[in-house]
Amino acid sequence: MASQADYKDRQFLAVIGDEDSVTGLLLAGIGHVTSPPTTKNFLVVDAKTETSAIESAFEKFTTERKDIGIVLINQHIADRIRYRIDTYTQAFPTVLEIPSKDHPYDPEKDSVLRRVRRLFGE
Amino acid sequence: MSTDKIDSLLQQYLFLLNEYTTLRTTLNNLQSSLYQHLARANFSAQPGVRHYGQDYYDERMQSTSHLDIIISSETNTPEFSLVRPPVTNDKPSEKPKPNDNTKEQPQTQDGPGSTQHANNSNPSSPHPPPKDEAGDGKARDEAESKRDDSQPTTTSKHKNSTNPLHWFGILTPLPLRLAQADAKTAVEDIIPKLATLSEQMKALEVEVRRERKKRAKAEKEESKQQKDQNRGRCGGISNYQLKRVK
Repeated sequence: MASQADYKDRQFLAVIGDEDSVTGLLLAGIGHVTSPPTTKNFLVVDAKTETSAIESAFEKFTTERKDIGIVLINQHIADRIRYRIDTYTQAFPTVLEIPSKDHPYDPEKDSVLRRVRRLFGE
Repeated sequence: MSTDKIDSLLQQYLFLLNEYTTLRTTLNNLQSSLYQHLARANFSAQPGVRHYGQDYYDERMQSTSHLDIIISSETNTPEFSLVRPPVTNDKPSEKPKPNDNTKEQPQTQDGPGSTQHANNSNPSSPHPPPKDEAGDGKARDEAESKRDDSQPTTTSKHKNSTNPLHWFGILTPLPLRLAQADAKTAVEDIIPKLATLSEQMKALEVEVRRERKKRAKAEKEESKQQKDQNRGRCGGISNYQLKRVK
């Protein structure tokens, strides 16, 4: 299914979320900054952040970077790039939607549960 | 045959789905607890602290835990787990403390055993006790320094520097530490399992679809064969009827 080269170096988690979500997850010690071209494995999204910035971050975490194994994204932010998330089919990294402070988890929007409904023909 | 296989695959799939939804609930609870703790920390923030957020992130932060991905030989799907590199020098530095206590305890036990004696002995040697204490202190310091020499001194500094909690200051409020504990549980226990389940479900979906296609093909072939047989029968009857007519 996936060659060893595909997953061997994938050792980080990436986060796209609001400030509180990112702060919480970084407190767990998953934040990583690489240099000299400074690249972070997280993106703090606020009201001013444009959808194109979110999309490019998602693109970077899923396609360009080969050291990320799981991408965590707030569900309400995932809604802004839903077309991109629903068409994402790569084996690595895995994309997981997480709830945020102001937007509780909605199973109707979860990409995994959408797949379930598709499988059962709904 | 294929329907049985599909049923068993779907059964497996539903088990995974159940596990997924259970873990989702746990993650939701942890996340809400985390946000509550963060809100409390922000509410009770010290005067200098505006908001526990990205203003305080360390721009040189390094991940303290790494993903470990193993491809399962049974299901051929990735299994995620979060590995925290062992901080080798923490435990030894912690362990000697009880030893110190145990070492001290006999003395103190001797002390209590001889508490009365100590009280008695103190008068006999009024000055030694402070000297002894000082001596003990020195000995302790020396022992600690020796231990520190044997185990690199940078470990404690290193540990402090890698703990993200210290971005927000040395004396961080309790709610922030509780938020960190929630985040750690979510990241180390729940999220890797959810990712693993998601991948396993994806693999099963592919398998179910493949089996369904096989079944559809088999059904088509069966219906074709039945049609052919029916045609053959119809053809036979008509020839017989024709012969009788003649």
